[in-house]
Amino acid sequence: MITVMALAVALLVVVGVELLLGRSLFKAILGLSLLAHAAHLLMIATGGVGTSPPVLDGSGSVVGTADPLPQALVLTAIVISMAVTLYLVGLLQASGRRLGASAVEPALASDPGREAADPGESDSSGASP
Amino acid sequence: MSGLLLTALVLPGVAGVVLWLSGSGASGLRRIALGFALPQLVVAVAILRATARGEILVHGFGGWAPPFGIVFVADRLAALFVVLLAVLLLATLWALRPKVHGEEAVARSLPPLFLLVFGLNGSFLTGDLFNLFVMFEVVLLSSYLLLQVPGGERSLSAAYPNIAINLVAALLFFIGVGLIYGATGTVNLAGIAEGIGDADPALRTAAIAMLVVAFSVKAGLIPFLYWLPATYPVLKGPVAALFAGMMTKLGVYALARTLPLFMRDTPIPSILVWVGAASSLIAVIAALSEFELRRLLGFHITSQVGYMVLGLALLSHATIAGALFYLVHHVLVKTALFFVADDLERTSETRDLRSMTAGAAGPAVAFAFVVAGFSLAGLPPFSGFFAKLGLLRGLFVVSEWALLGVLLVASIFTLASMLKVWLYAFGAPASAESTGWWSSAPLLGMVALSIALAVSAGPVFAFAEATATQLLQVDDYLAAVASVQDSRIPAGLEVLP
Repeated sequence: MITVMALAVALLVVVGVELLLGRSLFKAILGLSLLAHAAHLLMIATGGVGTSPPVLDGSGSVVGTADPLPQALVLTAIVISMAVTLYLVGLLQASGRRLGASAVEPALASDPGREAADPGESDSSGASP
Repeated sequence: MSGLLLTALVLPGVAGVVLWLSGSGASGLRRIALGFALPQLVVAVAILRATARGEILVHGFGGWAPPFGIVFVADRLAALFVVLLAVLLLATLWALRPKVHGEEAVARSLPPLFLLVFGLNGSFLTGDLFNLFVMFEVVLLSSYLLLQVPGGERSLSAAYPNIAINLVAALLFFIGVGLIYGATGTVNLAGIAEGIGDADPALRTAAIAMLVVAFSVKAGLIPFLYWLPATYPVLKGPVAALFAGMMTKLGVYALARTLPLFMRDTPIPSILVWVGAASSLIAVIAALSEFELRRLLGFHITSQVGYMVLGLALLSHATIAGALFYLVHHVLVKTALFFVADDLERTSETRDLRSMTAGAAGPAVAFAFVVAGFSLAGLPPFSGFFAKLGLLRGLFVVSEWALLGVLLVASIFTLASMLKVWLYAFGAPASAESTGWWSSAPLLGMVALSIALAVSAGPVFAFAEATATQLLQVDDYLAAVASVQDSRIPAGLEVLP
């Protein structure tokens, strides 16, 4: 079982990195989500794989249960990655409106010395409240 | 006393929510913000006073003791960061004026700014690795929001590389936490320190490498620095100053906290030393070739973070003390320089050094640049001289001659790039209609603090040495965390090991 988990993590990382390295923002968002899934799955795997629920039923036996703590931690991480994904989708929408295309060129180095953008523009920040 | 830690965390969180919900205008919001920032500083100073005596404050959340509960811990290191952050917050709010930076920009900046402070304070005070990850995410999400405040194409195009690299770093952090949990069975920092020795060496090294890469991205070290100079120039001036002062230091803090605690027995610190040295040299050369003022300063941040990381990663008392003193100096001076850059960019309406005329910014800005710029370069009698002296003395003590040479060469380049800014921006004669001294008050305040640091270098360095001692005496930290009493687990219930 743990081998299957490891292979799944590896596959998710491979596909995620491949998507992230493209120039399309939409694919990058998908890639980042897959990478997040890989991380979550790995965290789950650190708690082991159990066959019975981790409940103390008075018998005092925890044989065959998985460690529940990593699962609780993953829950937090899932919420966080959902928030970030939402922000990214908002960003995608805003840049689509502004630049007229969803394939945003990742402008890693903006032109040095370019004039500041007009401070009056505010319609572009879709994700900012 | 442990209630102080809770207050330091809750205060900015409440402030953020109140600012978000209140419908008042920009100047009203700013008054509310200042009303929260002042008690924040008082609480921070109270924490510093308590920890300066050598006490370690601990708070177990909800009455749970580790390994089940989350603890908040304040030692000298955490208190130092919390105080610096509170000072910077006050200066930033002072400098962020609706008349100068636009009503809407100020109103939109303030709520995420306080969430950022909430995340930073939480990161500095937490004693739990997973909690540190969550606080990192809070900081990142608020920084994404702040990045979109100026609006326009530049905000959008800077957002993507920033988010992509920080998100990948956060995932590496998360994987690192997972592996650490797998190796030691706990995410409590003290528990990790106790259990790491028995862990499988390969798993341990892999986990720690993941964490260190994540922290290095946050600190902007080589080779993970390129998001930093692309992001900081986009932010609103005073907010950029807070980022420059404190955001990269979050990575430095995380390294300073974890390196002595549970990374000592791995090969990671010795690699990190050379990452720091490479950062200090390569980034300053990049800065030298820049013509956009805030990008230039952004590369400088990496260079100086390199100094600090190098000192911390050597893990000897003298170099850690030097690095911590350098950090205090750097936070004050870098913030002042970003204030200067903001004033220059607004008054001369350009980001390019070549077309910049400092005349309109007034004599106060020129004075502040002289003090801050040459302090950054390490010229006596400014605070940068004492900071570099402390660090070089540390390297002298541990006989790291190659590193000492690297730092001296980097210092020469720093001086050269500051002279470049001076010649380009301040070369033109002053015009008659310059802005008054009062509008430069936050800037002059930071410069005054930097001068005060130079004057009181002795006591502050003594504090840095005491902090280094405390960091290296891991047992004190472990004992403080272990002293948390559990008030929740009923007496009859037996807890499984």
